[in-house]
Amino acid sequence: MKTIIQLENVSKIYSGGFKAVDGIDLGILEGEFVTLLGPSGCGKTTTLRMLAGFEEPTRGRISLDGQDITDSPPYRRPINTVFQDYALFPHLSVLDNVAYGLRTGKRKLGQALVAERVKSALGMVGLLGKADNRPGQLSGGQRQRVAMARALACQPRVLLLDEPLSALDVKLREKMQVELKQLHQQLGITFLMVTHDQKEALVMSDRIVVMHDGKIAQIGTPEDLYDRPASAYVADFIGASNLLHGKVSALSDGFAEVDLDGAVLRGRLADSARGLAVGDAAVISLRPERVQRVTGSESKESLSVFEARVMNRHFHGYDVRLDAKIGGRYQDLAIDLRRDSIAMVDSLPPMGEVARFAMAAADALVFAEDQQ
Amino acid sequence: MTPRQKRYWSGFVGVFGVPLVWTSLFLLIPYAVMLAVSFWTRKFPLFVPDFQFGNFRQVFTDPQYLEVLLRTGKIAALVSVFALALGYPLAYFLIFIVRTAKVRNFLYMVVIVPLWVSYLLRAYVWKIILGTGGVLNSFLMWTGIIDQPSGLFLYNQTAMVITLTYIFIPFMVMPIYTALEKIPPRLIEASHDLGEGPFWTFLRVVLPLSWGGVVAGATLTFCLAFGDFVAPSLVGGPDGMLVANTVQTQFGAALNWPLGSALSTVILLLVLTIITISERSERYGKIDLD
Repeated sequence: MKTIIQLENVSKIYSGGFKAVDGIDLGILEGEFVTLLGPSGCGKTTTLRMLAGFEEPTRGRISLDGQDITDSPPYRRPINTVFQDYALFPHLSVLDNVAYGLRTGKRKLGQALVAERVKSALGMVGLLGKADNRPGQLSGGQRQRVAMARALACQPRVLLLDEPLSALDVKLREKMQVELKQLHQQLGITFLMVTHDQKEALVMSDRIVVMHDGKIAQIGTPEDLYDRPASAYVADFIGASNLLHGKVSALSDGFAEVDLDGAVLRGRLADSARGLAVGDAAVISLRPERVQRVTGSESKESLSVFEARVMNRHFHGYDVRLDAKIGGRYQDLAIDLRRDSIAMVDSLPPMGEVARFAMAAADALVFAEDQQ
Repeated sequence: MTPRQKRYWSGFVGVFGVPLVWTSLFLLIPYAVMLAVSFWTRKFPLFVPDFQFGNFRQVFTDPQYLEVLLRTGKIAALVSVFALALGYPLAYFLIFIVRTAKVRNFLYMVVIVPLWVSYLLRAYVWKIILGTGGVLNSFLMWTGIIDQPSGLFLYNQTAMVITLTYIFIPFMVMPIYTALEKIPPRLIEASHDLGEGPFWTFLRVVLPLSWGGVVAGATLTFCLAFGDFVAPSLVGGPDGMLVANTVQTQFGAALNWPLGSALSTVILLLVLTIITISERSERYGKIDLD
């Protein structure tokens, strides 16, 4: 597959010196669904706006199909955007909104062709019956679909989606996630989405770009990011993680033992943590859902068994969240135990007591402390 | 009456009594008086109660009155057009070009502040600017374009249009500014995103969405200019009588209150018609910008 968009050392520095985007390099392949993920202020929206042409990079180069588009205005780019608040034209009907980009000064399409394209775009999002309505008469989900149809009617090379589902309620959002993904698969157009919702990113994307303070923290498939986060930051951002601070007490064959002042946890060394030596400060990351309850005195080489004091218990329906404290410094540890049977309730550790837990050592990741 | 109803009525009278009395005493009754007098007959030196349409007939058949009505309409229309031509770009500049809110608010205040200055003073200023010993003449003589003061600038309809445009332009800028302010910048970005450059974006998005402000501004400036009588007497020439001056004459020098009342009634109906039309077209273009 060939690269459709290439960002080379792109930076955006606002007057006042704030570095919104700090020298990022990113290549996007044709037909890919890529998501820029990060907390607010990480530079993901600025990156998207630079691709759309609304912001000018302070430094760097953006190219599309090998052509430099860094300086071309938004109306000369074959890129269309689905805005966060949809930005539908309130004075135009749904039909005229969708036809807007087909009747521009330079793109003079014939009446019949416009009608056909509008019809197919509205059909794609299932809104043929609403063509004569004003956006004000539509529900949030319908407006979202009109925004999609309007952008797709222009047949862009790349579709940009700026938090496209954030204004919808949870149920509708999950439904639209699936629909959007199917739409992407049908059309084969390159999608670039911005979101702060890691679940959304995991569900929809081919590749995710995790951003942090204007830089790219990691690029990878959803599985990559979840199972092999490059840093404690990514581990924490993609799915919740417990980040426990301690010292390396032993090293063996790609694994390390981290001493938390009393409790010792075994974990796999992250690629970036190969240089750790015994005695170095380290962070071990544990996913709450990968911790299990241990009742017997079993102890296997591949398992990391530890004790923690259970402080509180929250019912989540699908699972039970335990708030626990671990080690001599009483670090917070969240544990999710699956409620696969009513019987498991009886085996829950009593509150206030110390209980034994375990997780596969390969699932715990050890990072160097200064990476935080 | 139950105690509850009694309480309701005493509250009602307490809150709305004074405003309602004020409205009827100073607005409704005077309108009624004006309408009634317009049907009276003039019997020099007095007027006698009557019910006849002679006064209205005179307004519409005597070319003197029809001419002054048409002239007033023309002047008011010109004032609206010039105020729009100057006011819209100004409001657009303030909203879309000026970046900082501080500068924007300052410039907006600069436009609005003359409204706090006496109307008479603002009209009089143009007498000073356009007069034979005025700023314009001095400037033109200094540059050598003319060698003696010209009387062409003052005491004519052009001077009146200039003065009225200057006086009423804030009433054009304010509604347009408000309308433009409400347009989400996202919509302009969306238009660019869909391939439309600045010019067509203005015609297809900005102008339709600010149309309500244009209509409101045009209505205000037109109606205000239509009823003006100060500018004609300060900077207008012999051909510069407006309809308000004619009314004034009927109630003063000409001592023909019935005719003055008939003329006033016609003006009132004209203005009401314009306001109704403008309201309709504004409602037609009414858009929910949430």
